[in-house]
Amino acid sequence: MSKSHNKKRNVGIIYELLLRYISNNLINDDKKSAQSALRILEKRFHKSTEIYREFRLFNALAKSTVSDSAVAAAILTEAKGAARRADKGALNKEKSLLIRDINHILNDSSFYYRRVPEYKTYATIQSLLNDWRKLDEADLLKMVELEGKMVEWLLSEKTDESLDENIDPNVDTLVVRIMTEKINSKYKNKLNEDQRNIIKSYVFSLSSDNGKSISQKLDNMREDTVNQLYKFKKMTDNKYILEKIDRVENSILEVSIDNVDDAVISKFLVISQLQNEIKEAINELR
Amino acid sequence: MSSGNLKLLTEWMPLAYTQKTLQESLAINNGKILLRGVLQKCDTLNQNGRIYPRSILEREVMNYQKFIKENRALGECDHPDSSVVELKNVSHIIRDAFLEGDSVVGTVELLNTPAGKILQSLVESGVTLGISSRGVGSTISEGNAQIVQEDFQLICFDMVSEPSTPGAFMLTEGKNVDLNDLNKIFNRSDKIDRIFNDILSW
Repeated sequence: MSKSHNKKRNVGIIYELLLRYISNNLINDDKKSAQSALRILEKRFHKSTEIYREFRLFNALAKSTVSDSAVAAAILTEAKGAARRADKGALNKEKSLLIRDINHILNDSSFYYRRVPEYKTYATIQSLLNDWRKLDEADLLKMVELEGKMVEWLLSEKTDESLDENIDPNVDTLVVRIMTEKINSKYKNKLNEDQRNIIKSYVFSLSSDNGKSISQKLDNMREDTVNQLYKFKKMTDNKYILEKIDRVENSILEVSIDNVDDAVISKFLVISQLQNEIKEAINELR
Repeated sequence: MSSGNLKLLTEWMPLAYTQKTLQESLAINNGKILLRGVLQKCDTLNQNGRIYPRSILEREVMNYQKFIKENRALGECDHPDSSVVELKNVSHIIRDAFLEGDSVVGTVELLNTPAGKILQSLVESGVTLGISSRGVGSTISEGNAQIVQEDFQLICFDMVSEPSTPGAFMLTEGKNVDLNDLNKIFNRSDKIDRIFNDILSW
């Protein structure tokens, strides 16, 4: 990687660092610090800014996957053109103001030292954007080397097991990213896979189909749980459990899924847990 | 729900009795010693600097009823360095437990096990005893107190001597508890009952 790469002027890295700063502070209940960073993000990455335009270009290179090297080359050509059309002077000035805001408003000495998983790729992308703008002054050999790396990256499979893999274009990306970070870091070891799927479906269903798919999913889960309870009732001889099982079944059936909100989801996280335990119990009793 | 960073948490309460109440217990209960007292307190800063929110203790007392009804609410004489109740060290059984104001009040029956007989002779000699809850969970600092969190699970109540200094039982404190330990303490029906109680509280 080029020694001239400056992570403070790398839009992708700075954006990731700001997201991490916000989510860490939300988890630690420091809403004030999180809001300060959010304000910086909204102001400096506003749609009217050169930084935002560079960030979009950056994202197109960082997130895209293509199956053909000719398509990858075409993307690089388009990206190069877009990078060169940017107002270089305004972009540099905006980046300086962004760094100033981070240093003065957040005043966190560890801000730039948080880990960014795709650091090397992000550094390559930013170096390439910078080199493309140098036009005739660019080091051609270095530029070709970086473009080669970029083609490899565009052709590679990007795996992301976090909640944002199903991101919907209508959802506020920032909100989803912050929520994803928060859930993944806080509940990684506490929620089982089914519970994480419920949350994921909830978030994306609300934006894409007005909650229809999550209602359907919850209805199916409820039906399955009630069936499992019925089987378990016939198999167990635990009086204490048998005493409560009908009331539990009724409580589950009484949960309204007409308007799915956080409270309903919270109840279904419990039902999901019950469903898993009952299935285990049935297997053990067989 | 799987365990995160659960730690062993123990708390001490004095168990008050007099020779008169002791003799009454022996007479009424066919020679058995049953002691009644406060087992735990909620919304109160305890000796170890912890506060157990009422909703959490209320829930745990509810979950503990299954252990009481199934005659499994056993406790040991002194805290072991473990979260699991060892049958060979069992000295008593909790016969009832309920919330009264800010206190969890309960009845402790001293058993005729080797450890139980030690307790019986100590009680007959008028030795001051304490009762100590044993549970697993996490805490969060708030001011000078550690607030016990939603993941707390009550395991049992042990009989212990009066600590001479605050934090005398800190030796086993803070020990990390893993999922295997929890599976030894809570069987499948305990886990299902816990979820049942949660659902029935909606």
